[in-house]
Amino acid sequence: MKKTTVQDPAATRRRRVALGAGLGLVVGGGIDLILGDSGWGLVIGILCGALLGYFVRFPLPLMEYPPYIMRRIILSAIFFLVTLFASQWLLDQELEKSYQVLVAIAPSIPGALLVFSIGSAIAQLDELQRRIQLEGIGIAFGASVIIFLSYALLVEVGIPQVNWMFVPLLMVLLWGIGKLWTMWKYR
Amino acid sequence: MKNTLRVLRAERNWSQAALAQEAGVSRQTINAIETGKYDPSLPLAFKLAKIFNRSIEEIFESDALV
Repeated sequence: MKKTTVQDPAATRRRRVALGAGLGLVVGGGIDLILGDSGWGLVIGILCGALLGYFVRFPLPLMEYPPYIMRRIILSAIFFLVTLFASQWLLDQELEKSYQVLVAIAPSIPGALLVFSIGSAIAQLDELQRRIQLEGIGIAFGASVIIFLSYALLVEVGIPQVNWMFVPLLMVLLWGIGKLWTMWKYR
Repeated sequence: MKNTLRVLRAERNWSQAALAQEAGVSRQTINAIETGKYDPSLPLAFKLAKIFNRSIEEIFESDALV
C-alpha cells in the first residue's frame, strides 16, 4: 500500500474551474433573466465563475469524478447552452406557430441529457458522497417547497409573477447550498 | 459507533488517502468514519476489516453495548 497520495494540483484546479463555471452558469442565468434574456448574463457568469475557480484557492472539499464522467457533464452542459441560445435566436425570427413549439421545447432534450449525466456522476461516488448528494437534494427540495409555496401565496395578493426559468435555477442553487452544508457536517 | 480505525492506520503509518485508495472510497469517507461522524455500510466495514486483517468486532464497537 502507498503511504501517501499526492493530489494533482492541475486536476484540483480543473475541478475548481468546472465548479466555478457551474456556479457562474446558475448565477449568470438568474442575472440574464433579470437583464431581459439577452444571453450575456450567462456568458459573463460562466467566465467570472471559471476565472474565480482558476485564481481563488477556495478551501471547499471537492468531490472527485472520473475524467470521462466530467467530460460527459461538460459536453452535455455545452450542448444544452448552445441549444438554448439557438432556440432563443430562432424564436426571435418570427417562425410559424407550429415550429415555435418545437423550437421552444428543443433545449429540454439536452437538458435531460445533462440531468442524466449528473445522475450517472452521482452513481459513481462512494457511499458517504452519495449520502451527501441525497441529503443536499433533500434540503433543496424542502427549501424549494417552502419558497415556492410562500411565493404562490404572495401572488394571490398581487406581487408580480417571475419567469419560470427561475425555478430550476433556484433549485440548483439550493442543491449546491444543501450539498455544501452536508459536506461541512461530515468534514 | 466507536472504532479503532485511526489507531490501526497509525500503527501501519498509512495516510487517510492511502487507506481510502485501498478501500475504494474517498479520503473524506475515511475521515468521517474515524471521527465517528459516519457509520460505514456493512460491505465497507467488511472491506476495512479485511484490509487490517481483523474481524469487524475488533474494529467497530457499538455505543449501545458500551
